[in-house]
Amino acid sequence: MTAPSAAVTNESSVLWRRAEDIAAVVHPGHTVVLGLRTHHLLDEPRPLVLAGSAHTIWSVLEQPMTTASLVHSVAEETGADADDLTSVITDFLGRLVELGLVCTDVPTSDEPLADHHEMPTDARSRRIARVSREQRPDTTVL
Amino acid sequence: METSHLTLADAVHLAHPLAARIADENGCRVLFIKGPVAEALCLRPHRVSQDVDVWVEPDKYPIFISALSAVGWRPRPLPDAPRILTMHSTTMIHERWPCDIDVHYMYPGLLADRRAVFDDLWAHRTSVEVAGWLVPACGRVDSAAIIALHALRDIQVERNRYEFDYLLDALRRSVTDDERRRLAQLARVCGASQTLAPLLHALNIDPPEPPDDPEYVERWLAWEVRRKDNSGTSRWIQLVRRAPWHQRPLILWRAAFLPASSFQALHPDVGARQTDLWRARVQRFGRGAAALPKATRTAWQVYHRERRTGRREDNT
Repeated sequence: MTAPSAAVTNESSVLWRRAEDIAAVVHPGHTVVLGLRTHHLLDEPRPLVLAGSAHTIWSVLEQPMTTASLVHSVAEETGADADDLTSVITDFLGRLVELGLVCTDVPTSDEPLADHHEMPTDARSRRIARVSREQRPDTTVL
Repeated sequence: METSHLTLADAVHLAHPLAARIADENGCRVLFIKGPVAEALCLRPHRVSQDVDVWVEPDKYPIFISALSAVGWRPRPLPDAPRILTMHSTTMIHERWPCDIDVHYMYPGLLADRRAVFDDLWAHRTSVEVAGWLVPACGRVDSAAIIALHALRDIQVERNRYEFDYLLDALRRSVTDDERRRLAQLARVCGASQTLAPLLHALNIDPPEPPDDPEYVERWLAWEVRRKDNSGTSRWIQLVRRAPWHQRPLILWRAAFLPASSFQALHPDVGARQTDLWRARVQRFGRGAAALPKATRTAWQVYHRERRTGRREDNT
């Protein structure tokens, strides 16, 4: 496991996965999660509601996967355009990393990648301007 | 961005792993009882619990309370009122969480030494998944015993009667011979042969002989008083009975003219105006007088039992 960083999140081989020590109550349409790692306990643990697309992303992350796989799966689930989703998803994952709810793994060279949906770099670079605020995943810290 | 709030049901579920994690970080053994754990063990009908019930090993109780306090939980202030049974838990509250965490260091009706009780339950513990976490919980029949004691303490309450009947039905349909033996063992080791007698009889289990121990008898008599009459009048009468003679007039005066702060803590619905307060005090006198015959009868019965068991001493 590596420490998450902006550079790492752009690597195609990076696998996103839910952090360990997470408690969660899953409902249709939303999930309430609570980080319980040691650093969470030092700072009054607070539940976070993941609703709408945030819930979808969290559900898809049941298995570790690359950014491209995640974008593809969420696009399939929601019917949204993958180009529009990528920056939203990476921003959201970055926030979950900050909250200690998601972490990243870099597979070793002999480990096969599960990713078959990597997007072209130019498509990724265009997406940021096209993402509207409404598409951002709904999260509420309680 | 949609707005959300933490529901009571979600809070109760999430507070289980939270308490378990805090206990683990601080080296405290804990067991979860009642609530979602009882539901998962099919011993209680579904309903939204108001709180988390967690039982911490007695010697680690101050450490666990401190650890909860360090992450924003604080003890709920208690009204200044007499109790028949010894305090058995502290209710912790948090401004951002809609549920309480009841931290037990003993359980009413399990009358043996509290360390011996916890160690016995710990030795028979299980794990139950709550909010995606496996939390340590009392074993199935041990949980059943705790639910039964909770119901039997106030069996006149309709919900308790229903939950006791539900429990009996669940056990009658599924209890194994090993579980019967465990129930009898728990009753003996944890000092519950008399308090759990209705459950044991209903399952055709012979209650073991109660211990011939003065402390046990005293706790058993307090349980009996509490079970028969938990009215405010009964509690004050028991406080007077236990007090030395020279303190009794002061206690009686306090019972009749409770300080305003204590009165309002006990009756938060009463308005702040003096007239509201006096009206409520008069109504309290009325309720107290109405409860007096039953409370006196219970006190008289306990007095005779104490005489029979040799527990009665003159409080001079």
